[in-house]
Amino acid sequence: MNETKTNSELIEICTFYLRNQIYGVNIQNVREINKNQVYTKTPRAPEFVLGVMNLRGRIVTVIDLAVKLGLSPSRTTSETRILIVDSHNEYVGLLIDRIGDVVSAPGADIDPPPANLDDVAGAMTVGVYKSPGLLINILDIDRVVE
Amino acid sequence: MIDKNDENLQIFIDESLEHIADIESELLAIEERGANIDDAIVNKVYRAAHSIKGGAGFLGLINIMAITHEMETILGKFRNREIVPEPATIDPLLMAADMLRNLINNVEAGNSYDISEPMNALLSVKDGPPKDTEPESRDAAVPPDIAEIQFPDGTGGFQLPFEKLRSYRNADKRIYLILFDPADPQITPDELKNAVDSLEQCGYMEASSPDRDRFPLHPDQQTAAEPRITILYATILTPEDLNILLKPTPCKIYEYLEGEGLVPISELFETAPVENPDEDRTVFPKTTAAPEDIPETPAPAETNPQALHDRVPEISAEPSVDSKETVKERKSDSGKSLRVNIGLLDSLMQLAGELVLSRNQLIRAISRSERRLLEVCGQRIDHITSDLQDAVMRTRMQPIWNVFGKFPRVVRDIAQDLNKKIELTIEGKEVELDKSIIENLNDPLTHIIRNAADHGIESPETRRMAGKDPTGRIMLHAYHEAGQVNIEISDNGKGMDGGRIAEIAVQKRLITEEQAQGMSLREKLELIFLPGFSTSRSITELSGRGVGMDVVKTNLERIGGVVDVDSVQGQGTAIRIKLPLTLAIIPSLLVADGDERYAVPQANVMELVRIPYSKIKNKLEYAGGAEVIRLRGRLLPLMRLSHFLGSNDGRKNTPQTPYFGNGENAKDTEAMLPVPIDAAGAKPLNIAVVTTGVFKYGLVVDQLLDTEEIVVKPLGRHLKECKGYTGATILGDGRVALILDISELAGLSGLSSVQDEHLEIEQWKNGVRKAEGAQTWLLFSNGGKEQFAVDLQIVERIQKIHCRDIEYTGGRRCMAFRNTTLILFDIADVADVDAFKEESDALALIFYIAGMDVGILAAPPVDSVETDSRIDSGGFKQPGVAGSIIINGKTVLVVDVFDLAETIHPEWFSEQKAAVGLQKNILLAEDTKLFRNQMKCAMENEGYRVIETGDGAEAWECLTSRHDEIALVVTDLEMPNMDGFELARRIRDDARFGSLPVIAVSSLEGGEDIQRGKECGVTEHQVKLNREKLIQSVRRYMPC
Repeated sequence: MNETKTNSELIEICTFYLRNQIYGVNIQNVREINKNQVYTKTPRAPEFVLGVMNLRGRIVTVIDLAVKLGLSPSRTTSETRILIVDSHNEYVGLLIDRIGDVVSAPGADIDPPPANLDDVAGAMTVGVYKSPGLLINILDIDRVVE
Repeated sequence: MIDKNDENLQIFIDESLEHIADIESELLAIEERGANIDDAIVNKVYRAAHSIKGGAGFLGLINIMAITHEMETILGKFRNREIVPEPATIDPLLMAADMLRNLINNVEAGNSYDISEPMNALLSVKDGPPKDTEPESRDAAVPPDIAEIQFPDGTGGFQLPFEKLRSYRNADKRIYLILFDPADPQITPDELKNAVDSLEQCGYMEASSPDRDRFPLHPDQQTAAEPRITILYATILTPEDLNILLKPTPCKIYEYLEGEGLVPISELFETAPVENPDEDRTVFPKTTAAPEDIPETPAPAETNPQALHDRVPEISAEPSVDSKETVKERKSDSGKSLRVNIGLLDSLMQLAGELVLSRNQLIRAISRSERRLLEVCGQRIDHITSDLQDAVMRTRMQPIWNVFGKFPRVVRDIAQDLNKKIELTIEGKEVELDKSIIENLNDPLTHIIRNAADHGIESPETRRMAGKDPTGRIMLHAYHEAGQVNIEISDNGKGMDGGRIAEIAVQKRLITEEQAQGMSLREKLELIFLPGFSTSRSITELSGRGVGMDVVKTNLERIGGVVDVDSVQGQGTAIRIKLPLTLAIIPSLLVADGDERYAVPQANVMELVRIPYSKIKNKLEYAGGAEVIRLRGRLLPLMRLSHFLGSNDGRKNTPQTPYFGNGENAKDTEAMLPVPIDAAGAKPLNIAVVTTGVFKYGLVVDQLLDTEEIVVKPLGRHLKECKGYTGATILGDGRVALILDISELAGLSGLSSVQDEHLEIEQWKNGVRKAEGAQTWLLFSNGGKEQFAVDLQIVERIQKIHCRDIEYTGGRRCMAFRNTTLILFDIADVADVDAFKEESDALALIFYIAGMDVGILAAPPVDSVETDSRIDSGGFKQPGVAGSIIINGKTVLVVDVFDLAETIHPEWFSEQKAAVGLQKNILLAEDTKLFRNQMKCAMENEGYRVIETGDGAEAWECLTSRHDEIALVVTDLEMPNMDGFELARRIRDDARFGSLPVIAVSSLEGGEDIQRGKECGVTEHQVKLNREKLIQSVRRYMPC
């Protein structure tokens, strides 16, 4: 699912923003983008877990992606979305600040993460897509959700 | 070579395990009948073994084949009366069945298992001395009528006496004619030899051509004159089985049917499965029909008519439906498929159809926005949903026999090993439970049963000496009760020694000496569930596997069960398990903390208590820094949900000193107070009293909401490690609520059963209680002018009742309550006061008198008041009324419920008085009847026998005349004729009573009295109004 960098074919990347920085994930991992932000808090859970939500009868854990990437906890706005991703056959919700476009990236334009990327984010980044305008950090869903 | 994912293999495993379960119980049945063999049962086992063998042969499982083969041989000999089924011959078969189960459970590794042990055992039975009645002897008689059996082509034939034919038929056997053609190049002599050997093992060769010893089984015999081999063969094998038996060897098989002659078997299969009455109503999977298809389908297991009888197709459970995930992780990967009754599937299908129709209707209703139609749809969908839920749930239900079935064997084995005689009675084997619960019941139940057989039941000699039936009994009883399933495992063995258990627990430092002393028998017994408790001296090969009852308890809790234990020394032990019907849907209580709602499984909820804000000050107390309330005289540790969830951090201010509570205690505990007292807002204290099975605690929540049936859903992996939740559920508004794990919650908050006791003792030691002389009275009226008071401590509970429910039977009031009759009294029945007025609602104050609940009628409201006023037993004393007391400036009549009950039903008490026997008694000296009755009842309720006397002189007289019956003296200090001091002094001065303990009780706590009492020889001093402490003290001196 995450062989983003080896292929020379086009890879579709779903982009989104966290604190104005653009990130992307392989669209194959994304199940849906949810506007509903009603979730139940889960006290005593790990810090990055916001709570659990009801996705059509399924209990989905909602994770604050910002905290996971070592940023400060997110504040919800009207643009906040929950990205439902599939990791090891489990749906997990990632809270993001704003959703971006879906871009097609040729495998050749994806570079390995730069060495000076900080530890936390570096460990979760599979590559950087050099799009014409800007660089997009592509995250490894399995490692983010881990 | 063996692919675990092979569907055929999975089917083989499922079916073989079922066969083995049957084999085991049937072998035991065979053993029980001994020489009186029931061919039907033997044949059934034979067929089961054969089916397994067939499947194993097909899948290349050589070890399984080898074992089943030998099993068949022995069973065949049972049937031919060559071997008598007895423990010595059945044992190897059981051993073999065990090995089979192992082999099948570990199919991949199966072929490398060492199976020499069961094989040798089987072989030794097989080669054992044959019984004298030889089957040949039956052949001797020459019958008059003879059946000619000729080939359809008329090329050969045999003669078979009709009588013999009939005897075969009676024995459930079939007659086949089998043809081999040795000239066929596809037949190797080895194959032929194998085939002939197999035939010999599975049946009887009635006749053959050429004779058996002239079969051309070697290459050099190939030239023999006979072109082919014809065998007339009698066996219990069904045509399918026979086909499998001879599969690799090309041959022709005909079955001989009376009236029809020979019928080729393949035809029989394809066209007329109805021929076999057993299979009459069964649905034959098409694939098993033709023998050529056998390689694709492991037909052997299907061929057992029994297995097909239920018309059960395979459906595999959708993994997400499988509530396995809801119950934490589970290792067993068995049971990936489920057998479901076709009828049930049909009804599911039908419901799904109805659902579709309703959806269409709903869509139409929405588009037309017709409110009435919408309502109808809503109702209909509501119905269908609950039916659907019910049906889906039933697909997961399995009879508890799936677990119980193996216990006859377990008990039999233990009994044999230990030379005990044990009879196992099983009741309620048809009770159904969710599959996942059934799967997880096995280990805990096995442990308990082993314990009962191993430690519980004594040897026959010991039992005989104790005057019991030398055969011990173990009862296994499952039954439904209030939407739950109860399983009771009781034995009539030696029971458990509460004292000894407590001793061990003290030795192992699980509890302190003092805690042990304060414990009731039941509490002591429950110590066996503590982690680290295992009565070391009882470890034996059988049950001492390092697994204690604590593991049993944890395992049961994991599947939502609650377990408790009861035991009478010398008479036996009973362990009761309460289980939910299913784990997927559970009735729950919803509670709220702040804005979030949580679910507490109803199984854990005992009762709900709400303390109004104005009463919190009085009710909430602190013991060793922990919040407690008194619930009917017992301390209930409290745990605040908000504290556990950390939700009040920063939300509520933390006062520097506790807002209330008694001052001196507060100083000690200030620093340790775990929870700031909620000073803001006049909120009541809402408490859900919950039980973990071992102990109770009060869960303090912001709000107590509804009870609801919730669907348990598993939590994601990030929350699996997060303790305190068992899962989540979706509420009516679509939001998610977490389900609280009551046991883990207690553990995480540092509560434990020991601490429960600890609190009690801590409090007792520190003397935290309020003014000791003060007593709490329950004030009530019966609707008349008078106000009454009764000691709150003796009130069991207060029940709201409707007056229309009150019945009059035999001139007395009573009402049906929870399947029993609650007897109701009015004070006016005895005392000269206004009579109770029946209005719409009333209260019944429930007391425990003479072994039963008795209600006193009262009109709401009731109130409780604490006062240290003394009872004036002057002017107002009359039957049922002990006197009067001034409360808040008013005169209130003090009701003596025991006197009241005794006046109406003197017979209740005479029985108790007559029951003085072997057991030692407590001598009670007390001049005030109210207190005497109360203390007596308190002690009697604990199971002690009490002799009551009115003053010191009476007591002394009784003591001197019946001194060997008395183990403890409880005496008042101030009494007419002879006071308690004098009584104590006399006891101490008399050599006969040297060590007789004397507990002095007084209504007030006076240091002077205590000092003086000690000088006179009083062992201990107690306040008579403090029932709890008095009982604790009595327990210390009375043997359990």
